[in-house]
Amino acid sequence: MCSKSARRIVLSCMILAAPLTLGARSPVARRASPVDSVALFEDRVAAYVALHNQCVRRLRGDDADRDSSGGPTFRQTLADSIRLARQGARPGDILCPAVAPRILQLVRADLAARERLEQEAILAEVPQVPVRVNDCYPAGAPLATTPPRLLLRLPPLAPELQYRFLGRTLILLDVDAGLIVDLLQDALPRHP
Amino acid sequence: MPRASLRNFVFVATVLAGASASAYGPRAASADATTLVRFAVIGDSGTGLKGQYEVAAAMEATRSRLPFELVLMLGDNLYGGWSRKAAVERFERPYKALLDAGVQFYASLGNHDDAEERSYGPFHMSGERYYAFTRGNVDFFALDSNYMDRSQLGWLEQKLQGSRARWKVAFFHHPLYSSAGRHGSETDLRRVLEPLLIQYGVQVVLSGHDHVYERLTPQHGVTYFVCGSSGQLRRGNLGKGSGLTAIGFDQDQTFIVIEATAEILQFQALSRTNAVVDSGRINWSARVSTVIGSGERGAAQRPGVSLPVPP
Repeated sequence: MCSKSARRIVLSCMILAAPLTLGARSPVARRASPVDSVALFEDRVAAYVALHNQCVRRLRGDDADRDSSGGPTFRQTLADSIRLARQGARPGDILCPAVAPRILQLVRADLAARERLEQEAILAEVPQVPVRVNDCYPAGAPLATTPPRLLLRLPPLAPELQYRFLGRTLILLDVDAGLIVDLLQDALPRHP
Repeated sequence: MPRASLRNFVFVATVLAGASASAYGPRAASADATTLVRFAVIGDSGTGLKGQYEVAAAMEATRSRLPFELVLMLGDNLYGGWSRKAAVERFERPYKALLDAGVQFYASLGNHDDAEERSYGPFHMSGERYYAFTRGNVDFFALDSNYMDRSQLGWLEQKLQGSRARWKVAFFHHPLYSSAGRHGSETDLRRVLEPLLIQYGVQVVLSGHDHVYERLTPQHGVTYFVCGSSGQLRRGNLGKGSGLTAIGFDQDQTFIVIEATAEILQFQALSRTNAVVDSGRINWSARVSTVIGSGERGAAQRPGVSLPVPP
Protein backbone atom coordinates (compact mmCIF):
# COMPACT_ATOMS: atom_id res chain seq x y z
CA MET A 1 0.00 0.00 0.00
CA CYS A 2 1.31 3.43 -0.86
CA SER A 3 1.24 6.46 1.36
CA LYS A 4 -0.18 9.80 0.24
CA SER A 5 3.25 11.32 0.28
CA ALA A 6 4.53 8.56 -1.92
CA ARG A 7 1.80 9.21 -4.50
CA ARG A 8 2.51 12.91 -4.53
CA ILE A 9 6.10 12.48 -5.51
CA VAL A 10 5.61 9.90 -8.21
CA LEU A 11 5.47 12.41 -11.01
CA SER A 12 8.69 14.17 -10.15
CA CYS A 13 10.47 10.94 -9.51
CA MET A 14 9.36 9.52 -12.83
CA ILE A 15 11.28 12.29 -14.50
CA LEU A 16 14.39 11.41 -12.57
CA ALA A 17 13.86 7.74 -13.22
CA ALA A 18 13.85 8.19 -16.97
CA PRO A 19 17.62 7.83 -17.40
CA LEU A 20 17.42 4.44 -15.73
CA THR A 21 15.34 2.99 -18.49
CA LEU A 22 16.18 5.03 -21.55
CA GLY A 23 19.00 3.41 -23.40
CA ALA A 24 19.40 0.55 -21.01
CA ARG A 25 19.50 -1.89 -23.90
CA SER A 26 20.79 0.51 -26.52
CA PRO A 27 23.34 -0.44 -29.20
CA VAL A 28 25.73 2.11 -27.70
CA ALA A 29 25.73 0.24 -24.45
CA ARG A 30 26.47 -3.07 -26.15
CA ARG A 31 29.49 -1.66 -27.96
CA ALA A 32 30.95 0.11 -24.94
CA SER A 33 34.59 -0.47 -24.09
CA PRO A 34 35.40 -1.67 -20.56
CA VAL A 35 36.14 1.87 -19.43
CA ASP A 36 33.04 3.23 -21.07
CA SER A 37 30.91 0.44 -19.68
CA VAL A 38 31.95 1.25 -16.13
CA ALA A 39 31.28 4.93 -16.79
CA LEU A 40 27.87 4.00 -18.15
CA PHE A 41 27.19 1.89 -15.09
CA GLU A 42 28.26 4.75 -12.84
CA ASP A 43 25.86 7.03 -14.67
CA ARG A 44 23.03 4.58 -14.07
CA VAL A 45 23.94 4.33 -10.41
CA ALA A 46 24.10 8.10 -10.13
CA ALA A 47 20.70 8.43 -11.76
CA TYR A 48 19.22 5.92 -9.36
CA VAL A 49 20.76 7.68 -6.37
CA ALA A 50 19.34 10.98 -7.60
CA LEU A 51 15.92 9.37 -7.68
CA HIS A 52 16.47 7.87 -4.25
CA ASN A 53 17.54 11.20 -2.80
CA GLN A 54 14.66 13.00 -4.42
CA CYS A 55 12.26 10.59 -2.78
CA VAL A 56 14.03 10.96 0.55
CA ARG A 57 13.90 14.74 0.42
CA ARG A 58 10.22 14.74 -0.42
CA LEU A 59 9.37 12.29 2.31
CA ARG A 60 11.33 14.21 4.90
CA GLY A 61 9.60 17.32 3.76
CA ASP A 62 6.33 15.58 4.39
CA ASP A 63 7.43 14.74 7.91
CA ALA A 64 7.46 11.05 7.22
CA ASP A 65 8.30 8.97 10.23
CA ARG A 66 12.08 8.47 10.24
CA ASP A 67 12.14 6.92 13.64
CA SER A 68 11.99 3.19 14.00
CA SER A 69 9.60 3.45 16.89
CA GLY A 70 6.52 2.16 15.16
CA GLY A 71 3.83 2.96 12.64
CA PRO A 72 4.55 3.18 8.93
CA THR A 73 8.30 3.33 8.78
CA PHE A 74 10.32 5.68 6.71
CA ARG A 75 11.83 2.75 4.84
CA GLN A 76 8.51 1.30 3.81
CA THR A 77 7.31 4.66 2.56
CA LEU A 78 10.57 5.19 0.72
CA ALA A 79 10.30 1.78 -0.91
CA ASP A 80 6.75 2.55 -2.00
CA SER A 81 7.87 5.85 -3.48
CA ILE A 82 10.79 4.40 -5.42
CA ARG A 83 8.78 1.42 -6.60
CA LEU A 84 6.09 3.70 -7.95
CA ALA A 85 8.60 5.91 -9.64
CA ARG A 86 10.19 2.87 -11.28
CA GLN A 87 7.09 0.94 -12.16
CA GLY A 88 8.57 -0.14 -15.45
CA ALA A 89 11.94 -1.13 -14.02
CA ARG A 90 13.40 -4.29 -15.53
CA PRO A 91 16.52 -6.34 -14.89
CA GLY A 92 19.46 -4.66 -16.55
CA ASP A 93 18.29 -1.10 -16.13
CA ILE A 94 21.23 -0.33 -13.88
CA LEU A 95 23.36 -3.44 -14.27
CA CYS A 96 23.17 -2.72 -17.96
CA PRO A 97 24.30 -5.11 -20.70
CA ALA A 98 27.48 -3.13 -21.17
CA VAL A 99 28.70 -3.92 -17.67
CA ALA A 100 26.81 -7.07 -16.70
CA PRO A 101 29.20 -9.57 -18.34
CA ARG A 102 32.16 -7.97 -16.63
CA ILE A 103 30.48 -8.10 -13.23
CA LEU A 104 29.43 -11.69 -13.75
CA GLN A 105 32.96 -12.58 -14.75
CA LEU A 106 34.35 -10.92 -11.61
CA VAL A 107 31.90 -12.79 -9.37
CA ARG A 108 32.50 -16.15 -10.98
CA ALA A 109 36.28 -15.74 -11.09
CA ASP A 110 36.36 -14.69 -7.46
CA LEU A 111 34.39 -17.72 -6.39
CA ALA A 112 36.33 -20.10 -8.59
CA ALA A 113 39.60 -18.92 -7.07
CA ARG A 114 38.50 -19.91 -3.59
CA GLU A 115 38.95 -23.25 -1.93
CA ARG A 116 35.95 -25.55 -1.98
CA LEU A 117 35.18 -25.14 1.72
CA GLU A 118 35.25 -21.39 1.42
CA GLN A 119 32.97 -21.53 -1.63
CA GLU A 120 30.52 -23.69 0.26
CA ALA A 121 30.60 -21.40 3.27
CA ILE A 122 29.74 -18.42 1.07
CA LEU A 123 26.95 -20.21 -0.76
CA ALA A 124 25.51 -21.78 2.38
CA GLU A 125 24.65 -18.40 3.86
CA VAL A 126 22.70 -17.16 0.83
CA PRO A 127 18.92 -17.25 1.32
CA GLN A 128 17.21 -19.28 -1.40
CA VAL A 129 14.24 -17.18 -2.43
CA PRO A 130 12.80 -15.98 -5.74
CA VAL A 131 14.00 -12.54 -6.77
CA ARG A 132 12.31 -9.80 -8.78
CA VAL A 133 13.15 -6.17 -9.41
CA ASN A 134 11.11 -3.83 -7.22
CA ASP A 135 10.50 -6.50 -4.59
CA CYS A 136 11.52 -5.76 -1.05
CA TYR A 137 14.29 -7.84 0.44
CA PRO A 138 12.45 -10.75 2.09
CA ALA A 139 11.49 -9.80 5.63
CA GLY A 140 13.39 -11.70 8.26
CA ALA A 141 15.77 -13.36 5.80
CA PRO A 142 19.43 -13.05 6.77
CA LEU A 143 21.78 -10.94 4.70
CA ALA A 144 24.50 -13.11 3.27
CA THR A 145 27.87 -11.46 3.61
CA THR A 146 29.20 -10.26 0.31
CA PRO A 147 32.84 -11.43 0.34
CA PRO A 148 35.00 -8.38 1.09
CA ARG A 149 37.68 -9.17 -1.46
CA LEU A 150 35.03 -9.48 -4.15
CA LEU A 151 33.64 -6.11 -3.08
CA LEU A 152 37.04 -4.58 -3.63
CA ARG A 153 37.00 -5.81 -7.23
CA LEU A 154 33.48 -4.86 -8.20
CA PRO A 155 32.74 -1.37 -9.49
CA PRO A 156 32.14 0.87 -6.48
CA LEU A 157 28.60 1.81 -5.58
CA ALA A 158 27.11 4.79 -3.85
CA PRO A 159 26.43 4.23 -0.13
CA GLU A 160 22.73 3.92 -0.89
CA LEU A 161 23.29 0.69 -2.80
CA GLN A 162 24.92 -2.64 -2.02
CA TYR A 163 25.79 -5.79 -3.94
CA ARG A 164 24.10 -8.77 -2.31
CA PHE A 165 23.31 -12.35 -3.19
CA LEU A 166 19.87 -13.91 -3.09
CA GLY A 167 19.54 -17.41 -4.39
CA ARG A 168 21.95 -17.58 -7.33
CA THR A 169 21.29 -13.97 -8.18
CA LEU A 170 23.41 -10.89 -7.61
CA ILE A 171 21.14 -8.04 -6.62
CA LEU A 172 21.55 -4.32 -6.17
CA LEU A 173 19.91 -3.56 -2.86
CA ASP A 174 18.75 -0.11 -1.84
CA VAL A 175 19.80 -0.21 1.78
CA ASP A 176 17.55 2.54 3.06
CA ALA A 177 14.48 1.28 1.21
CA GLY A 178 15.23 -2.44 1.53
CA LEU A 179 14.38 -2.64 -2.15
CA ILE A 180 15.82 -4.84 -4.90
CA VAL A 181 16.50 -2.32 -7.62
CA ASP A 182 18.28 -4.54 -10.15
CA LEU A 183 19.64 -8.06 -10.51
CA LEU A 184 21.92 -10.37 -12.44
CA GLN A 185 20.66 -13.92 -12.61
CA ASP A 186 22.84 -17.02 -12.41
CA ALA A 187 25.74 -15.15 -10.91
CA LEU A 188 26.43 -17.95 -8.48
CA PRO A 189 26.75 -21.66 -9.19
CA ARG A 190 24.18 -24.06 -7.85
CA HIS A 191 24.76 -24.79 -4.19
CA PRO A 192 25.61 -28.48 -3.89
CA MET B 1 51.50 -15.21 44.83
CA PRO B 2 52.92 -13.54 41.73
CA ARG B 3 51.76 -9.96 41.19
CA ALA B 4 49.95 -10.86 37.97
CA SER B 5 48.13 -13.71 39.62
CA LEU B 6 47.27 -11.53 42.55
CA ARG B 7 45.73 -8.91 40.31
CA ASN B 8 43.68 -11.49 38.53
CA PHE B 9 42.53 -12.92 41.80
CA VAL B 10 41.63 -9.47 43.09
CA PHE B 11 39.55 -8.78 40.00
CA VAL B 12 37.60 -11.99 40.39
CA ALA B 13 37.26 -11.42 44.08
CA THR B 14 36.06 -7.90 43.47
CA VAL B 15 33.26 -9.11 41.26
CA LEU B 16 32.23 -11.76 43.68
CA ALA B 17 32.51 -9.53 46.72
CA GLY B 18 30.40 -6.82 45.20
CA ALA B 19 33.00 -4.06 45.14
CA SER B 20 32.19 -1.28 42.72
CA ALA B 21 35.54 0.44 42.48
CA SER B 22 38.45 -0.67 40.38
CA ALA B 23 40.67 -3.00 42.32
CA TYR B 24 43.85 -3.39 40.37
CA GLY B 25 46.27 -2.16 42.98
CA PRO B 26 47.70 1.23 43.82
CA ARG B 27 48.08 2.42 40.25
CA ALA B 28 44.43 1.98 39.43
CA ALA B 29 43.27 3.08 42.82
CA SER B 30 44.85 6.46 42.34
CA ALA B 31 43.52 6.88 38.83
CA ASP B 32 41.00 9.54 38.08
CA ALA B 33 37.47 8.27 37.71
CA THR B 34 37.35 9.44 34.12
CA THR B 35 40.09 6.98 33.22
CA LEU B 36 37.98 3.98 34.15
CA VAL B 37 35.65 2.59 31.54
CA ARG B 38 33.57 -0.46 32.29
CA PHE B 39 31.40 -2.08 29.68
CA ALA B 40 29.59 -5.31 28.98
CA VAL B 41 29.49 -7.25 25.74
CA ILE B 42 26.70 -9.38 24.30
CA GLY B 43 26.47 -11.13 20.97
CA ASP B 44 23.68 -12.72 18.94
CA SER B 45 21.39 -11.69 21.72
CA GLY B 46 18.11 -10.86 20.04
CA THR B 47 16.26 -14.16 20.14
CA GLY B 48 13.56 -13.28 22.62
CA LEU B 49 14.08 -16.73 24.09
CA LYS B 50 14.24 -17.59 27.74
CA GLY B 51 18.01 -17.82 27.58
CA GLN B 52 18.31 -14.20 26.47
CA TYR B 53 16.24 -13.08 29.43
CA GLU B 54 18.35 -15.17 31.77
CA VAL B 55 21.56 -13.67 30.45
CA ALA B 56 20.02 -10.23 30.85
CA ALA B 57 19.15 -11.05 34.46
CA ALA B 58 22.69 -12.24 35.06
CA MET B 59 23.99 -8.98 33.59
CA GLU B 60 21.76 -7.01 35.91
CA ALA B 61 23.01 -8.98 38.87
CA THR B 62 26.61 -8.46 37.83
CA ARG B 63 26.05 -4.77 37.35
CA SER B 64 25.01 -4.38 40.95
CA ARG B 65 28.53 -5.46 41.80
CA LEU B 66 30.41 -4.15 38.80
CA PRO B 67 28.51 -1.19 37.41
CA PHE B 68 29.17 -1.12 33.70
CA GLU B 69 27.91 1.91 31.88
CA LEU B 70 27.84 0.60 28.31
CA VAL B 71 26.86 -2.57 26.52
CA LEU B 72 28.38 -3.43 23.15
CA MET B 73 26.14 -5.51 20.91
CA LEU B 74 27.96 -7.76 18.46
CA GLY B 75 25.16 -8.15 15.95
CA ASP B 76 22.06 -10.30 15.46
CA ASN B 77 20.47 -7.90 17.86
CA LEU B 78 16.92 -8.60 16.67
CA TYR B 79 16.28 -11.89 14.91
CA GLY B 80 13.35 -12.17 12.53
CA GLY B 81 13.36 -8.69 11.06
CA TRP B 82 12.57 -5.27 12.36
CA SER B 83 9.27 -4.45 14.02
CA ARG B 84 8.26 -2.49 17.04
CA LYS B 85 7.11 -5.74 18.63
CA ALA B 86 10.48 -7.37 17.99
CA ALA B 87 12.29 -4.42 19.53
CA VAL B 88 10.19 -4.73 22.66
CA GLU B 89 10.37 -8.50 23.02
CA ARG B 90 13.99 -8.97 22.03
CA PHE B 91 15.58 -5.85 23.43
CA GLU B 92 13.57 -3.47 25.56
CA ARG B 93 11.93 -6.05 27.77
CA PRO B 94 14.89 -8.31 28.50
CA TYR B 95 17.21 -5.37 29.18
CA LYS B 96 14.60 -3.16 30.86
CA ALA B 97 16.41 -3.02 34.18
CA LEU B 98 19.64 -1.99 32.49
CA LEU B 99 17.92 0.56 30.27
CA ASP B 100 16.05 2.00 33.23
CA ALA B 101 19.37 2.32 35.04
CA GLY B 102 20.72 4.43 32.21
CA VAL B 103 23.00 1.83 30.65
CA GLN B 104 23.64 2.69 27.01
CA PHE B 105 23.72 0.06 24.29
CA TYR B 106 25.89 0.42 21.20
CA ALA B 107 25.04 -1.98 18.41
CA SER B 108 26.78 -3.39 15.39
CA LEU B 109 24.86 -5.14 12.65
CA GLY B 110 24.77 -8.90 12.15
CA ASN B 111 23.55 -10.92 9.21
CA HIS B 112 20.15 -11.32 10.87
CA ASP B 113 19.75 -7.62 11.53
CA ASP B 114 17.57 -5.30 9.55
CA ALA B 115 19.09 -2.07 8.29
CA GLU B 116 16.22 -0.32 10.03
CA GLU B 117 18.04 -0.89 13.31
CA ARG B 118 20.46 1.87 12.34
CA SER B 119 17.78 4.40 13.17
CA TYR B 120 16.58 2.76 16.36
CA GLY B 121 17.55 5.27 19.04
CA PRO B 122 18.52 2.88 21.85
CA PHE B 123 21.14 1.25 19.61
CA HIS B 124 23.03 4.56 19.27
CA MET B 125 23.96 4.00 15.64
CA SER B 126 22.78 7.42 14.49
CA GLY B 127 21.61 5.99 11.19
CA GLU B 128 25.06 4.66 10.28
CA ARG B 129 26.26 1.16 9.41
CA TYR B 130 29.56 1.84 11.14
CA TYR B 131 30.61 4.44 13.62
CA ALA B 132 33.10 5.25 16.36
CA PHE B 133 32.86 6.72 19.80
CA THR B 134 35.11 7.39 22.75
CA ARG B 135 34.77 6.73 26.44
CA GLY B 136 37.66 7.70 28.69
CA ASN B 137 40.78 5.94 27.49
CA VAL B 138 38.96 3.77 25.00
CA ASP B 139 38.12 4.39 21.36
CA PHE B 140 35.39 2.04 20.16
CA PHE B 141 34.95 1.16 16.50
CA ALA B 142 31.65 -0.44 15.53
CA LEU B 143 31.91 -2.04 12.10
CA ASP B 144 29.49 -3.60 9.65
CA SER B 145 31.16 -6.91 8.82
CA ASN B 146 28.26 -7.87 6.53
CA TYR B 147 29.48 -5.43 3.95
CA MET B 148 33.13 -4.46 4.27
CA ASP B 149 33.46 -2.26 1.22
CA ARG B 150 36.06 0.29 0.20
CA SER B 151 34.33 3.17 1.86
CA GLN B 152 34.13 1.43 5.22
CA LEU B 153 37.75 0.33 5.09
CA GLY B 154 38.79 3.87 4.16
CA TRP B 155 36.71 5.29 6.98
CA LEU B 156 38.21 2.84 9.46
CA GLU B 157 41.76 3.62 8.43
CA GLN B 158 41.10 7.34 8.79
CA LYS B 159 39.55 6.84 12.23
CA LEU B 160 42.36 4.60 13.42
CA GLN B 161 44.97 7.01 12.14
CA GLY B 162 43.38 9.76 14.19
CA SER B 163 42.88 7.71 17.31
CA ARG B 164 44.96 8.80 20.29
CA ALA B 165 43.23 6.62 22.85
CA ARG B 166 45.19 4.20 24.99
CA TRP B 167 42.84 1.41 24.07
CA LYS B 168 41.34 0.69 20.71
CA VAL B 169 38.46 -1.77 20.72
CA ALA B 170 36.78 -2.91 17.52
CA PHE B 171 33.51 -4.80 17.53
CA PHE B 172 31.55 -6.38 14.73
CA HIS B 173 29.60 -9.51 13.98
CA HIS B 174 31.73 -11.92 11.98
CA PRO B 175 34.81 -13.30 13.77
CA LEU B 176 38.18 -13.11 12.06
CA TYR B 177 39.17 -16.09 14.17
CA SER B 178 36.85 -18.71 15.57
CA SER B 179 37.16 -22.38 16.42
CA ALA B 180 33.44 -23.06 16.29
CA GLY B 181 32.17 -25.64 13.89
CA ARG B 182 29.11 -23.75 12.68
CA HIS B 183 30.84 -20.81 10.99
CA GLY B 184 34.46 -20.58 12.07
CA SER B 185 36.99 -17.97 11.02
CA GLU B 186 35.95 -15.42 8.41
CA THR B 187 39.15 -15.59 6.43
CA ASP B 188 38.07 -13.29 3.63
CA LEU B 189 37.18 -10.57 6.09
CA ARG B 190 40.41 -11.23 7.92
CA ARG B 191 42.47 -10.58 4.82
CA VAL B 192 41.11 -7.07 4.36
CA LEU B 193 40.61 -6.06 7.99
CA GLU B 194 43.42 -7.57 9.99
CA PRO B 195 46.23 -5.49 8.40
CA LEU B 196 44.51 -2.30 9.60
CA LEU B 197 43.95 -3.68 13.09
CA ILE B 198 47.62 -4.60 13.37
CA GLN B 199 49.00 -1.47 11.76
CA TYR B 200 47.10 0.89 14.02
CA GLY B 201 47.45 -1.03 17.26
CA VAL B 202 43.93 -2.24 17.94
CA GLN B 203 44.28 -4.33 21.08
CA VAL B 204 40.87 -5.97 21.40
CA VAL B 205 38.39 -7.27 18.83
CA LEU B 206 34.96 -8.55 19.84
CA SER B 207 32.75 -10.59 17.53
CA GLY B 208 29.79 -12.95 17.63
CA HIS B 209 28.13 -15.04 14.89
CA ASP B 210 29.20 -18.35 16.41
CA HIS B 211 26.99 -19.11 19.38
CA VAL B 212 29.76 -19.95 21.80
CA TYR B 213 32.31 -18.14 23.93
CA GLU B 214 35.92 -18.20 22.90
CA ARG B 215 38.99 -16.15 23.63
CA LEU B 216 41.67 -16.69 21.06
CA THR B 217 45.34 -16.75 21.74
CA PRO B 218 46.57 -13.27 20.72
CA GLN B 219 47.05 -13.03 16.99
CA HIS B 220 49.70 -10.52 15.89
CA GLY B 221 49.23 -8.65 19.17
CA VAL B 222 45.44 -8.50 18.95
CA THR B 223 43.23 -10.28 21.45
CA TYR B 224 40.09 -11.67 19.83
CA PHE B 225 36.91 -12.69 21.60
CA VAL B 226 33.91 -14.53 20.21
CA CYS B 227 30.84 -13.95 22.33
CA GLY B 228 27.85 -15.12 20.31
CA SER B 229 25.92 -17.01 22.95
CA SER B 230 24.09 -14.22 24.72
CA GLY B 231 20.80 -15.14 23.04
CA GLN B 232 21.17 -18.82 22.35
CA LEU B 233 23.81 -21.49 22.67
CA ARG B 234 25.22 -23.95 20.18
CA ARG B 235 26.27 -26.46 22.76
CA GLY B 236 29.42 -28.42 22.06
CA ASN B 237 30.18 -26.51 18.88
CA LEU B 238 33.72 -25.48 19.74
CA GLY B 239 36.29 -27.46 17.83
CA LYS B 240 39.26 -28.80 19.71
CA GLY B 241 41.85 -28.83 17.00
CA SER B 242 42.07 -25.26 15.77
CA GLY B 243 45.08 -24.40 17.87
CA LEU B 244 43.61 -20.93 18.27
CA THR B 245 41.73 -21.24 21.52
CA ALA B 246 43.03 -19.74 24.73
CA ILE B 247 39.78 -20.37 26.58
CA GLY B 248 36.56 -21.70 25.12
CA PHE B 249 33.19 -22.34 26.65
CA ASP B 250 30.23 -23.88 24.87
CA GLN B 251 28.15 -25.29 27.70
CA ASP B 252 26.11 -22.25 28.67
CA GLN B 253 25.26 -18.80 27.40
CA THR B 254 27.63 -15.99 28.19
CA PHE B 255 28.36 -12.29 28.29
CA ILE B 256 31.56 -10.38 28.99
CA VAL B 257 32.39 -7.53 31.32
CA ILE B 258 35.47 -5.47 30.53
CA GLU B 259 37.12 -2.77 32.57
CA ALA B 260 39.76 -0.50 31.11
CA THR B 261 42.03 1.77 33.06
CA ALA B 262 44.94 3.64 31.60
CA GLU B 263 47.26 0.69 32.12
CA ILE B 264 45.19 -2.44 32.27
CA LEU B 265 42.22 -3.90 30.52
CA GLN B 266 40.56 -6.62 32.58
CA PHE B 267 37.92 -8.96 31.29
CA GLN B 268 35.58 -11.58 32.61
CA ALA B 269 33.22 -13.86 30.74
CA LEU B 270 30.24 -14.93 32.78
CA SER B 271 27.49 -17.47 32.32
CA ARG B 272 23.76 -17.25 32.99
CA THR B 273 24.45 -18.24 36.57
CA ASN B 274 27.12 -15.59 36.89
CA ALA B 275 29.78 -18.25 36.96
CA VAL B 276 33.11 -16.95 35.72
CA VAL B 277 34.14 -18.95 32.68
CA ASP B 278 37.15 -16.87 31.74
CA SER B 279 39.03 -13.91 33.11
CA GLY B 280 42.26 -12.15 32.50
CA ARG B 281 43.93 -8.90 31.66
CA ILE B 282 45.89 -7.12 28.98
CA ASN B 283 48.69 -4.82 30.08
CA TRP B 284 48.99 -1.68 27.97
CA SER B 285 52.56 -0.89 29.03
CA ALA B 286 53.79 -4.19 27.72
CA ARG B 287 52.84 -2.96 24.23
CA VAL B 288 52.08 -6.56 23.49
CA SER B 289 48.89 -8.15 24.68
CA THR B 290 49.90 -10.27 27.61
CA VAL B 291 46.82 -12.21 28.46
CA ILE B 292 46.48 -14.24 31.57
CA GLY B 293 43.39 -16.34 31.37
CA SER B 294 41.63 -18.82 33.49
CA GLY B 295 38.78 -21.26 33.25
CA GLU B 296 38.48 -24.44 31.32
CA ARG B 297 36.74 -25.34 28.12
CA GLY B 298 33.21 -26.41 28.92
CA ALA B 299 33.61 -26.14 32.64
CA ALA B 300 32.27 -23.01 34.30
CA GLN B 301 33.45 -22.28 37.76
CA ARG B 302 31.01 -21.97 40.59
CA PRO B 303 30.34 -18.47 41.87
CA GLY B 304 32.46 -17.65 44.84
CA VAL B 305 35.37 -19.76 43.72
CA SER B 306 38.52 -18.06 42.56
CA LEU B 307 39.83 -19.31 39.28
CA PRO B 308 43.10 -21.04 38.70
CA VAL B 309 45.59 -18.85 36.96
CA PRO B 310 48.19 -20.34 34.66
CA PRO B 311 51.76 -19.62 35.70
